[in-house]
Amino acid sequence: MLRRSTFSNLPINLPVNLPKVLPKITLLLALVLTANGQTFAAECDESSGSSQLTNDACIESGQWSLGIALGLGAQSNPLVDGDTIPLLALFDLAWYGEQAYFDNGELGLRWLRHDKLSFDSFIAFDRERRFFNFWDPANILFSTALSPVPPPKDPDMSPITDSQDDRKVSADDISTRRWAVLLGNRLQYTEGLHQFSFTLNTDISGIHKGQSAELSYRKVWHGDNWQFQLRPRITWKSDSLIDYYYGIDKNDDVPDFLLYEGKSGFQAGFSAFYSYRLSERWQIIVNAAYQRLNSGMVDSPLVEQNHTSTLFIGVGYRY
Amino acid sequence: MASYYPVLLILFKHLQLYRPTRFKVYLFGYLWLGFTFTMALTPSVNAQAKMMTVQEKSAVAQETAGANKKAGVNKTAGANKTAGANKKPAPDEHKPQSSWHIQPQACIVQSLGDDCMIDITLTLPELDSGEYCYYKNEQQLNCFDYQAPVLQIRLRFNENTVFSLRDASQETIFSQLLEIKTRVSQQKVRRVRDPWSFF
Repeated sequence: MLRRSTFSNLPINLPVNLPKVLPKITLLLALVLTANGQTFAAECDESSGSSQLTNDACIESGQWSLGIALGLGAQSNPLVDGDTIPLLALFDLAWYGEQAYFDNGELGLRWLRHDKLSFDSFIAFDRERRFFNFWDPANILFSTALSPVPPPKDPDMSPITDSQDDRKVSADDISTRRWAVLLGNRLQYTEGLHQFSFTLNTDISGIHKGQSAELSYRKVWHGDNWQFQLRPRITWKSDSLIDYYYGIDKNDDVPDFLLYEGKSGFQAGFSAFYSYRLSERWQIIVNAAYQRLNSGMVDSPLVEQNHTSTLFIGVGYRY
Repeated sequence: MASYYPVLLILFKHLQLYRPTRFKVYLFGYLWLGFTFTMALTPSVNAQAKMMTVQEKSAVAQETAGANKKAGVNKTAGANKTAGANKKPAPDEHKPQSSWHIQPQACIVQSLGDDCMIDITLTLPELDSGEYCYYKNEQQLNCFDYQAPVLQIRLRFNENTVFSLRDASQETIFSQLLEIKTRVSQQKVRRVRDPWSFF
């Protein structure tokens, strides 16, 4: 199932093997950046555009911030027989210290904190797993990364769906895809209400041994009580990553003609966020996202949609 | 962060020398992350020392302000003796930075944005002949002749400010960052992830 992890399918020829040197790059950058001692505290001060936003964009150092939003929403699931992921509640949980931080499932260290430029390294679970068996308790508890692969199913049972297309396989009939743990490095440049962000992720758990890279731009508009932000993004995912989750091999116990090897590719998309502040603690929240999937993923017998979309509308309360 | 350097250096040296397998790289990575997280989350001796320094500075700031109200002139006269302004150094003589001293270097305010007014006291080394001026960022303050240096200045500012001394040719010969500290921790930082992005 797992294949060699390289950036070889990039449209450009790289002189080095990035997966091997990425941890070294992280260390080198950390050394250089920390040696400079560039840590400015006043990044959300009055002169910064971010101070004009709602309190969501800036957080008080050393204190937990918890927000819960109840409402109605869903995330579409591109997999064959994949359950639409219901979004009845959204959470916002963050803590930022002098250097370490936790922000919505991401545990990181900030090496550089200029008013405009920041660089951080973090570990987080790979959210690619969310499309598989969402209501599996292990899925919720993020523990399947450590659980063994279940034994193969009875080969007599046909994994092929009732779909008219015989080259489709139900996500329920394949072996378990596990959570991977990512080591990420993120560079952000913020100029007032504009922000550019570049993130490199690599799997350090050995689950898929793949990488991904994301380039995004965020623009914020705001009024006295409202805020709207739009973030177009383009994401590249490696062969290994796509193949682990959407490829099909002998371990999946399907007929040979359904075997499929996932291919790397670019996925373009955007996310939009709107909030209207009702009071100091209450706000209306609208969250929407769309992501176009690459052909190396869509061509898989496991996938029946060429995109995923998310919409949530609700009322949030911040403690 | 200085305490991290030996670990990071040793780690990087090992990575270069032994060309380890990816497993070793990741193992080192885990250890490194664990160590740095532990260091970041645990109040270190350095951090405590920094806190002490801030407290001391604030105490000095209050003491200085109080003392100046009572006997500002006498204090200035005493400080002038420290300067030893009549001695003229050789033209190429190097002036060690350690002979400079400015006190206090921080000001405590109730909340961020509040105005801070402090009287700072300076200790200067022997100056070359000529005229010198103090600056608050780029704003010119007092100017004086090298024989009669001004050693006490009242400053008002509401954000971190660079206080400097420049000679007649506008060359900065001494500068010091004067920090604003809030009584209640209200330091806000920009989040790296979008809010409400748990899923």
